[in-house]
Amino acid sequence: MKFASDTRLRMLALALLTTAAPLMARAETVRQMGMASPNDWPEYHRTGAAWAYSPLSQINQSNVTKLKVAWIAQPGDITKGLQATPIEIDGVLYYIGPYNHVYALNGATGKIIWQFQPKLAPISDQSFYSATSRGVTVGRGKVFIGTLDGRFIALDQKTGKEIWSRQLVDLKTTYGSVFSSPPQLAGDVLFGGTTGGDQPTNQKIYAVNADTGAPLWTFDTIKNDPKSWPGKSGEVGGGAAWMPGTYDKTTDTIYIGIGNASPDFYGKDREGDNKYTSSLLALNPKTGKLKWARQEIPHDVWDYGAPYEAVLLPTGDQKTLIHLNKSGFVFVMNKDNGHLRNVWKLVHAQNTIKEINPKTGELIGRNEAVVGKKKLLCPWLLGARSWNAGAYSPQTGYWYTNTMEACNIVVSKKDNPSALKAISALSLGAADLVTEPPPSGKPRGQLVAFDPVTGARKWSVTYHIPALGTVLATAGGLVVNGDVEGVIHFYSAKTGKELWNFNAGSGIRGGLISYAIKGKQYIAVPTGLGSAAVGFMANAFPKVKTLPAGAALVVFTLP
Amino acid sequence: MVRTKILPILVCLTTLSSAARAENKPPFNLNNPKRIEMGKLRFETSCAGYCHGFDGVGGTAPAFRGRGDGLDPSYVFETITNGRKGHHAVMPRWGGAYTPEQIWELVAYIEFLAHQKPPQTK
Repeated sequence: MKFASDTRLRMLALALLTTAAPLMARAETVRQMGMASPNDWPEYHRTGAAWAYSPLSQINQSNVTKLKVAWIAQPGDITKGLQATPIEIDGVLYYIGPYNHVYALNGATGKIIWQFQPKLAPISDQSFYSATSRGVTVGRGKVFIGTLDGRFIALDQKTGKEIWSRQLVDLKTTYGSVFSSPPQLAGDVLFGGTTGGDQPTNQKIYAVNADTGAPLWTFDTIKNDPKSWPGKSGEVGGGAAWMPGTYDKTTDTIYIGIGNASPDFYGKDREGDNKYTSSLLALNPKTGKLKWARQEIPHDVWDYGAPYEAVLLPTGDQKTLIHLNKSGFVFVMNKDNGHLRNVWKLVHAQNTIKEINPKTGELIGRNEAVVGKKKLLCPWLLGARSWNAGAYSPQTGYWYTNTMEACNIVVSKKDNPSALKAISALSLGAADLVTEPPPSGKPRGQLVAFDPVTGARKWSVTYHIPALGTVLATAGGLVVNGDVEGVIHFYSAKTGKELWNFNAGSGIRGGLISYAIKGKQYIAVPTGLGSAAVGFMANAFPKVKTLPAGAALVVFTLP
Repeated sequence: MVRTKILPILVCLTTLSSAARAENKPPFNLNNPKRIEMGKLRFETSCAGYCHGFDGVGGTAPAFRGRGDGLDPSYVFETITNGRKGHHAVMPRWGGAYTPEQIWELVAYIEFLAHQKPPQTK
């Protein structure tokens, strides 16, 4: 009997192995992951490789001048502009407007299929991040959002009806920390972090069961280590994972970048490396345990957070990951252990860190703000690039990203706790903070094509005001980038030559995507300027004061 | 008949509105240097960073410094208390976070800024 049972078990194991083998064989390479589902834009960065690259080529260099507007969608509210990156799956386009207003549209016509807007708790109006809505996530028959009152919500993908809602963050005790970005899927795990890097609180990454909303784990981005955070400094240390992470199916790994340390410009009360602020984390999705961490800016005192995208390259051993933080240094590392392969400089206006050792990651020549004295610090607190991602094209092998050449003058100061009572208070640790041109000349922005491993510049175009949108690359040999004045530029991915443009009337702050329905390719561009960054830019770029706000999703196709 | 019913309501609303505005008077002298200093501290953590600038000049909103347009203190008080929904950005409602006295200290600092020299244009 025992023998029979063992035999049965062995046969069962064999059967499982036989059925699992094809699954194992389907375990994708980075290249396969980046090229999957070519007709859709199923994730925030299209795939877990975070290329923001569409394999579609119907719209290409030879016919881009013939593009026409297929349809326009308006969310009905322009507060803080249209910051979302839409999702498109099987002909349906999903996007989110200000105040968490979610829409599902026919991707070919723009006709509304359903819409949903949660009843936000009144306290959300007090948050510094009020109205900010950066995207949705679609999968498992659901549409997921993170809300401006601290919840994850799952909607029925077909109807938009609420399936579950889970309160995760108390705005009253976290200085108004909210989910401005969409939580992401890693299998049946839904994970994401809050805004709030400038708030005097300690942030977390939250994970729930995507099907039920049941909490699974939280990860404290403020490491419980007195060497890293002396005294109680970690309790107000910031470390917000405020942008979407990515999921690497090839190794079952979450990558998620962590924001700056708080108070931003005053580090005397937190002498230490302040882990895991300004770091890239690799997490196990099931447990939330750390696989590895790469802190890029130890003891950040410049507001140089690292919440940006982790791009996986299909070249070489397919284990190279590049990751940018606000300092303007790009870290090239092994995606499976975080070991450094190179570090290179993104912008010219950099005087806060002389160099970073490309082998050890050590910061050499730190130039920090001081108490009672003005210091010119470059890049400024908005970073060498804003949060909107770059794009990688496997056709050219280039990584395309916007950059900002701008600085700020800062006077460091210990924040007075009595002035930090409001939930929207910012703990900047500054007595003065004003934008300033770089020493080398006028402040400006650029779209640059880089070799992502060496940092070699292949081509660049210059904007007199930095562009703030996400870049799109396509297999049609195109790179598409919208500027803050509302002009959508279509460039040759190889040379940077501008091939066509379209004036949408208000600047681009969201993420551009491309998809195909019934053999017809579309390019969708969220237009409409807004966000706190625009206000901060005004001193260095006075023209932004005259630029109209807006919110409209403009979708192009060929006639 | 209708008019006789509406009129007392209108009078009542007008009276209430006047009473509400009457309460929007500072409980201290807005020129008090200590109050201005307290307002400045609060301004630096609440208003300056991304929006109005540390010197009252910044953002997409008009500068406070050197406005010289008789900025009405009660208007400033109400705006801070209730917030304002702009287009590029949102000014949060501070009434739930600060006491009226603390908001009046912010008003004192903003009025102080308004009477300083205007910023030099770049």
